[in-house]
Amino acid sequence: MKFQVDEIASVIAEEIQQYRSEADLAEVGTVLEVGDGIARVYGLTNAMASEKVTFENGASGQVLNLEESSVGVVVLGDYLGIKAGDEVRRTGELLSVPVGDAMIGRVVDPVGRPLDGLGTIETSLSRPLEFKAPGIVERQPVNEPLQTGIKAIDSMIPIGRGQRELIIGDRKTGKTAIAIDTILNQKGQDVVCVYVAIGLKESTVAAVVDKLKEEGAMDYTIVVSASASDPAPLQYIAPYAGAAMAEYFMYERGLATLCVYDDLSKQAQAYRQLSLLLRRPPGREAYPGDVFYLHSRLLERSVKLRDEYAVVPADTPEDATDRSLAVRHPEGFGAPEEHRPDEERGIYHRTTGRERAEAWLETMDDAEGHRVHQFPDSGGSMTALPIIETLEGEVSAYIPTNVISITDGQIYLEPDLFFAGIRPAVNVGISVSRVGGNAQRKAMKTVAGSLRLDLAAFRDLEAFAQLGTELDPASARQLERGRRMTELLKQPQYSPYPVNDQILSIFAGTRGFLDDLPVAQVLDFERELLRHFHDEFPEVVEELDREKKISDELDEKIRKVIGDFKQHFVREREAARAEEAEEGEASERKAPPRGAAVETAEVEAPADEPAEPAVAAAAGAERS
Amino acid sequence: MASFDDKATALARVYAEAILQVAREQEAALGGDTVDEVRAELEELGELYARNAGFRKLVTDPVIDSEERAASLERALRGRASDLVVDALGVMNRKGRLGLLPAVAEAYVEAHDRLRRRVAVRVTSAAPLTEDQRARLAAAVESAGGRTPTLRERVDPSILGGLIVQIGDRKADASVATKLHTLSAALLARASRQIQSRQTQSGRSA
Repeated sequence: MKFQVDEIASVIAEEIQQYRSEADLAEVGTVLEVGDGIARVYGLTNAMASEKVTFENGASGQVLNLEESSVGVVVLGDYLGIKAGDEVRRTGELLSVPVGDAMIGRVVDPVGRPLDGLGTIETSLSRPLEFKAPGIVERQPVNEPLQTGIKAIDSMIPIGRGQRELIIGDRKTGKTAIAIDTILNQKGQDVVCVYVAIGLKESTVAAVVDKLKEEGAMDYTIVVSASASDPAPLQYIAPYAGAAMAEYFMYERGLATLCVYDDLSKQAQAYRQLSLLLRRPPGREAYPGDVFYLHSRLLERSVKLRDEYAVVPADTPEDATDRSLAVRHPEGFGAPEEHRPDEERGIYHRTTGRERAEAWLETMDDAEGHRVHQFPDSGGSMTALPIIETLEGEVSAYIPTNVISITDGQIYLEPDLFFAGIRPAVNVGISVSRVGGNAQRKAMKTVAGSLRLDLAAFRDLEAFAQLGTELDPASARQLERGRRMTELLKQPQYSPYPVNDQILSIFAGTRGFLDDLPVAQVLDFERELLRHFHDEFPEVVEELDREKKISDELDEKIRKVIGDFKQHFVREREAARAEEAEEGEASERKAPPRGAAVETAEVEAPADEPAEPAVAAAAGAERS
Repeated sequence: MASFDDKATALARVYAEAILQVAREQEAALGGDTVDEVRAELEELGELYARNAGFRKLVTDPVIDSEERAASLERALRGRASDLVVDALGVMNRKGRLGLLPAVAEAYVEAHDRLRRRVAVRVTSAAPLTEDQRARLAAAVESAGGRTPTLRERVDPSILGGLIVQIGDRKADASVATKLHTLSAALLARASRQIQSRQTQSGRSA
């Protein structure tokens, strides 16, 4: 690419000609003191709360405290370059971030500056950081599933688009892993994802971005990062910035979006720091009084927007968003109830509205000349997956209880399960989803209906059976079923399951096909069964996709396929075992030395998990 | 520069208003221009406080007891300053608020300006203003705000040319330096945008 000098020169000439000799008018104040990311500024008498101001060194700030003759400003950016006596200017604007298609695939800081070294972001669009959540009339109930691709979650704690589902657990229990898997599973689903990293290590964020790139997930994802080394003000605004970026796609484009806030406990800590430095009175755990509002106003922005329909002339393009194209009902609100529009100008809301619009269309004289149109920029959604880190499983601390009460359910991860090898380490008993059930696929609902209760009963029974009590056959059966279901719900990281596969494998479990298989073979069986379905019976998978419910015939067919496959599987395993036994006798004396085995085991363990102490110690001893 | 403390500012305003009120009453009763004199004296005292460490010590040192301080102030000021100002200092001393002196002086000046419909205007220019320029500037400010300007002039060659005028929080910057700066920033932004968009284009076509 050659630099075209004359073009640049002409630009300069043009610029100079247009340049008017107008005075640069501004309202200014003076920095009194600055430190810890907070500046006190004298003057700025007319400054508004939350207004954006700019400092002499180019940093921007947000006005948080308004006092008698000074204002408290949090500095977003380099506060070390600001000194007492510097000039501060009002901008008359609220903080805003750049939004738009150009943001997708980028890693940015909470004010929208690129962090990924891919150059400036070309977009002229922006949205305010703080945006009021839509009201009752603009919403509709959650009715579409957001598939996480994780069996344990999609079957028992289903999440719907527009829902707020908290992921809560101690450190190192796989919270981020669930969020990342969910993002990976949105591939090809027309869902724009925003991953907001707050107070994380830069290395963790880099690893996440790398993984998303590797799996092709950056094609629909924006990463907003305020890492542990960024000043507290940036960490505080990061989730709002992420939400604003998602809101563009939801409000202007009618798309489904997913926001992961990783994690909100760090954001609350950053806000606590700011508040204390601004000398606001501390409350419980030294958090300020408005820390509940901090999270509630963020999570209220998650929403499923209503669908909007109208009767329009048949030649209207599918992507028309102009509401004035709607044909008004001649009687307006006076129309009979079954045709009545929700707005004077002929707009119908939600599914019931569509039915009314269709009913009216049928009675029209010129029915062929019209059709019912769904406005493509309506019906967007923002699903939120906030993450909260607890200390030693303490869910009754201040911030966890706050966020639990705001969200529509929580996924609770437990270290005990994690170290027992049950991963994802979801505690099914106390994890809930308050609204997602409405959005779950009928087929999934049928096969997984009793799963939660069965597993809960299994947990109780398991504790009881540890006492070595003799069990009656029914309880023993339930125990065996529980062990196999627990095994079946295990799933490695970064391997989300398509929903059809989930339905088939849970079908096999809940219908008792696994009961007489050894627990260790369950996952092998599942894997081979799914491959069998895809290779030999793709029509079954297709039918699951097409039909919402599992019909009796389909149920019958799936049972037969699984039954046949199981016979084949069991026969094969037996043959393999016999072969192994023969070989084993022959090679018994050539067993590898112990050290080698330990070393292999260590390599196989996923890199992000802490190596089990016993293994590490053994390996250490072996090397020394 | 104002006091750092918002509470102190608020308190100082109370004292300043009270002093102004007494000054106006005296002026009304006895004639003369007490209000203006008090302003000049308070400004001088504020200046003294800022410059003279000994005076500052006398006024704020907690070791000196209040009666002693009152006596020293009497000795030093009675006869030199107006009785009103010395009495006001006495009252402030009795209430342990003498430390507010500079803030009170400032608040008085502000209140006095408001009373006289005057407004302080800070002017920065590259070269000293001529008498004609001063008059034109004053006329311009008066016609815009309806208040008589008191100019505080500053000469700063680094602004190259033009004027910077600041009234309260509002600042009108018509200096050549600022204009050049904005121009260069605009050109840089424009050029970098162009380079960026060409890179994206060539990236897409490749």
